[in-house]
Amino acid sequence: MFAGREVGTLRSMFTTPSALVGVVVLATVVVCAIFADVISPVDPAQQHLLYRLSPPGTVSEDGVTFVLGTDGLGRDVLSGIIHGSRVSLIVAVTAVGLGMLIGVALGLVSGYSGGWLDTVIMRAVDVTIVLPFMLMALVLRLALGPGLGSIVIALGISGWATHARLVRGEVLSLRNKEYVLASVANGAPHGFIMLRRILPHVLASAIVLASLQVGVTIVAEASLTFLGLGVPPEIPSWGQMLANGRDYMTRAWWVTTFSGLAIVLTVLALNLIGDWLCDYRDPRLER
Amino acid sequence: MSEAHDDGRVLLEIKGLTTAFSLAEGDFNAVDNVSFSVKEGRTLSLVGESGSGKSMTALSVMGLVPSPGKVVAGEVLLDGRNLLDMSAREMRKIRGAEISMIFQQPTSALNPTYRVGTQIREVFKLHRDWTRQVETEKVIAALRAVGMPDPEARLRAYPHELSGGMAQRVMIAMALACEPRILIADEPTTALDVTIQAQILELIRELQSSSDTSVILITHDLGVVAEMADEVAVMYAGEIVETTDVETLFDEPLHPYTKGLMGSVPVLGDPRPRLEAIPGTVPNLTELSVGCRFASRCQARIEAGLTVCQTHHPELVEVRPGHAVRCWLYSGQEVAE
Amino acid sequence: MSDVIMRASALTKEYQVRRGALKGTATVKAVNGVNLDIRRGETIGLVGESGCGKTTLGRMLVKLLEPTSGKIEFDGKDVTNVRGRELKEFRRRVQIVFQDPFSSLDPRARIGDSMAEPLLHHGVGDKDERQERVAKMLEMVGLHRSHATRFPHEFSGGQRQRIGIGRALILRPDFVVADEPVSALDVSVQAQILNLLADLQQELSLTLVFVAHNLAVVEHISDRVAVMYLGRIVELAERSELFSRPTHPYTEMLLDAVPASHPRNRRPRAPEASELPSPLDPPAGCLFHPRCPIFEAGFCDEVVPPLHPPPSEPSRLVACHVRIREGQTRTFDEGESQK
Repeated sequence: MFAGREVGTLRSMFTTPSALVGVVVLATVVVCAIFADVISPVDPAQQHLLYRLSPPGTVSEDGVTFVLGTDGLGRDVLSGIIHGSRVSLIVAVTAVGLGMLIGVALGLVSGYSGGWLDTVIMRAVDVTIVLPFMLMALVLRLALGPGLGSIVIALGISGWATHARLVRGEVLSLRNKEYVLASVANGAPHGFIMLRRILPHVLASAIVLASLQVGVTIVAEASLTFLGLGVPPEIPSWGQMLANGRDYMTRAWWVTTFSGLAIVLTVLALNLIGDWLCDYRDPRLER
Repeated sequence: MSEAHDDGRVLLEIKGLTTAFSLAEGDFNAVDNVSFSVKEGRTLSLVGESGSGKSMTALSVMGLVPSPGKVVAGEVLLDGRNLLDMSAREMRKIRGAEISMIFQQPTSALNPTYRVGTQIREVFKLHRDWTRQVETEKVIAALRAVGMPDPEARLRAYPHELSGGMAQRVMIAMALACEPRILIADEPTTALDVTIQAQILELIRELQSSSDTSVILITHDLGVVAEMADEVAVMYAGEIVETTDVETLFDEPLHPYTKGLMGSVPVLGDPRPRLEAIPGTVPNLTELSVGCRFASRCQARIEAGLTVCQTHHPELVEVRPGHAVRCWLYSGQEVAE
Repeated sequence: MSDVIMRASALTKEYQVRRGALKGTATVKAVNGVNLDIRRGETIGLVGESGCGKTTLGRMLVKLLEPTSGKIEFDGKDVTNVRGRELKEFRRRVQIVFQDPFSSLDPRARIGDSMAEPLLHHGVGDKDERQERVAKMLEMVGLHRSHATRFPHEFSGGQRQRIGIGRALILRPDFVVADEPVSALDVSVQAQILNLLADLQQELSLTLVFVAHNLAVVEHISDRVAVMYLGRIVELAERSELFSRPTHPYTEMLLDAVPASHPRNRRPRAPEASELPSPLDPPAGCLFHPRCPIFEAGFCDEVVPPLHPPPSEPSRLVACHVRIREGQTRTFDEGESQK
């Protein structure tokens, strides 16, 4: 209703060195994902059989430079990495987004209503958290069968529990804040209070948690793929490359190394941004 | 009640103390050219509201200014020795033994993980060389001296097990354990109920008179000043704006801020239909304009038609014997009594 | 007899408190059987020290807290268990101003939106009308209408309190509980806000319940004053009567503890530790008896004194056996000489 000045500086994202590094790396990854077809030197699936396991910098007779070398089937590693970003980002972000959506919603309801609903939801959280993540992902993936959808669900579904617990905790303390009580005293319906007075304050923590979860999920996706349960082999993925490269790591270190590096850098970038998010939101506003 | 030394010996003298802060929002002096002295056995009250610099003055004297603050000018003379020149080691010997400080929130100023007796014992360990048995006796005696019921049992309590009043007594016991010459009390009763406040203030009064300790009492409550102070220094926006003895301050306040403060406080037994509020708010110290810092809120300036207030910064001038004011209404002329 | 706008009957609020890992739970009565009639248009001060229950009582009157037992009647109607549309109607007419200016406003909401919220929830006007009413209310509380687009952190404590007051009054309620509205403010700002409250009360014909621990402030603003101790009202009287002739020993203790107004009025006071008993373990009989100078064994420590008018003063209520008895003796003395 009232439009005015922005609060807080998004600009600090660019002035804090660590955050800036994170942003640059992540932006690069995102650009790769979106414009993969354009940026990529060659089709990542194309096999240059004469140049299998070529070291980085090899130039083919047709003038194609394999900047980061080729894998066992002669596929360009760089193109694979560029295209692989799609899978990693889409799968990871979607999976985490799913978990966050469910988790925040349930955490909000749980913390706000209290009583039996709270107890039930929290017991569900306890059970979910106790089960090891990779095990759950494996089991779900096997149960749901192959396909991108089932991978997303398998990776994301258990993430709801941490979100729910985190959000519930924050809601419990926010519920008694005087500005929430003021809304109650003003006749606000429960929905308004949850969505407008409480949610904005917990969202930031949830996003920070999510940004950290994306990193873990990318690695998990790579692990699933490594085990053959992830994305199908035709779709280039970092996990796929990591898995393949393992067989000839001593002869052709570049396949595993560069795909592994891509994973590490992306996860690092997400963590750096997550850290910046931690500092960015509160002090200014809650002063 | 403490003996009235009319011309008591000056124990602590502060001259031109300035503590500067450098923050993202700007640089400012939380304590700006502050000078006052404390006599032996007497109580000086530093009065002011938030942002006046009163707490920071105390911390500066103790050498406890939190970063990013720094004392940048002035002298703090205890018996002629400048505390600001001392090394960290020397200051540690002084703190607790010659000058002690108690704070506003007793339960958070005490270490929650140690028993109360242990914390008092720590003061003895630092400054005295006694056996454990002697220390225990002294701890019990200290607790008894502050009116703690059942001291032998209480010394085993943890701070969170004590009420606010009890915790403050413990703080006082710790502060006075080694019989310092000066006690700095920073809003010691602000967080306490009024009945407990009365007890604590009386306790401080009694302890002071029995050991002839000087007290620097920092407060925003004029009632506390009226009860406890011998001399008063009123602070505003980092500066001292008026100093005199307590009776003169209440009978004839000179500075418009002091007058405004007194007019805006409801007095028990004397209900008025309306309080005389000081308009406006305390200025942002990073955005001070030239001239008197109180000028923008000063009614007297407007009534007297003065323009100098906004252009020239007034100095603290003794306009009557023992009564100094920082105000253009009085400076430049001796006001006839 | 003035019109009673709010009546609390036997209002009680209990909390279950854990006494440590192995000691189970205990019941704490934050408010214990309070009866209070509040007259239309008056300012009634609720005064007491920590743990007396004044804030809890204030919040129950506004129905932000559910009483454990007891009844609340507003404007003749029993609102104790009211819900839905009737509750909303209650909320339109009964409001609260909070103590802490820093937590009573949502830091992420522009203050204009926070102030417009009551209008929004009660379906008052459309967006433009609400905007205009907010602008007018901002001016009424001494701010500027352009402030509506700003965030709370851009304001000082005193200004935020003004905003909180504006928000509470924007629906023109009949009854307002002010829960320590000036306690967190600097002294010079307190005076501004007290003046503002007094002005607004006049202008809007409000009934005001002023909860505070500062006796001078309460004396300044109240018509009648209720003194609370450990969850009960121990004395209720007209302002001038209470402060000039306190009857209950606790009221006397409170007034005695207030620091002097001038150095020449200094008095020695007792430094002995006389503390509030733990609410987990309240004294039997009269809650104040362990600290009471006129305590009588065998009586005060066994029977809870009822809140009763001393016969010579029908407009006052006191919960003290000894004082009531003296009162009776006093009226007796008019006819027969006893003591």
